[in-house]
Amino acid sequence: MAAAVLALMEKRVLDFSSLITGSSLDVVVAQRVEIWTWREVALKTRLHSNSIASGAGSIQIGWAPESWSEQEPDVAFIGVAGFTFLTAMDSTIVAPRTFVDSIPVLGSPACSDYVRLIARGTRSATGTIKAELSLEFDCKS
Amino acid sequence: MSARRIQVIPKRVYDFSRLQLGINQTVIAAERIDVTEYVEVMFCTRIHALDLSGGTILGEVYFDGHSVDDPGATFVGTWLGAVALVPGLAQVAYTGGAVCPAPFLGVRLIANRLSGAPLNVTLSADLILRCPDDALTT
Repeated sequence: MAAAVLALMEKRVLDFSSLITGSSLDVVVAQRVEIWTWREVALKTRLHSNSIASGAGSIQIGWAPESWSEQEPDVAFIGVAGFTFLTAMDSTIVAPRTFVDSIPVLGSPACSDYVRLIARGTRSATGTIKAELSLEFDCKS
Repeated sequence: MSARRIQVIPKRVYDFSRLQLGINQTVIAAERIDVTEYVEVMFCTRIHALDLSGGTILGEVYFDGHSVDDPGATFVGTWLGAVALVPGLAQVAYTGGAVCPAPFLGVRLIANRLSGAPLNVTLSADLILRCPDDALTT
């Protein structure tokens, strides 16, 4: 048995407060994270602080399979099904809080070699949309 | 734990534009891939460019029943994974896999020509092989 913790994003403020109402914005928080040697991968999301105003919107973490080819290294090949989004963090989530979500590495659809992670901010009304997050993978084999 | 990544198809153009209308063509892109020492197999197929105006293309990873008694024959077994390429979606990856009981795998493309328009794909593919026990692999 082997295990490892891969730090994906250190504690960081994600601020989507400048978004226009009714819009969303994706920010890549980790890309080309190599997981192909692991049989179990879990994404741990820590919410350190939450400054999302009531009803203003939410922040979601999403993952997608990613691949890379040395024959065309400038292209990021994202999984054909796109991103899978995890628990939406809104004003009702009290920090500190941890979310643990399994990233499939066997079966279909699943990640085979690399993973890309994004944070999506969505605004539905006026108010601050800001939170402090950190992300890591817990890997086992 | 032991894991290995092998490139089974380097970036390559498969052009079925000269195929006769209404005809299927199967191209074996890789065969007799030895996965004897591994338990789990994942595939990753990258679509570099794609034009499916003239039909459909299906990609399959199959169990290859190669036999030394009849080495010239291609014994195609059940699919480890099969995907129909989605029109208009280039620069994407098709990923998936399963626990693999077979010792050999193959990869093939099946094209079906439906009109006189272009039918081609540029792709590359890898297999990711995993075994939970280091002692089982050499």
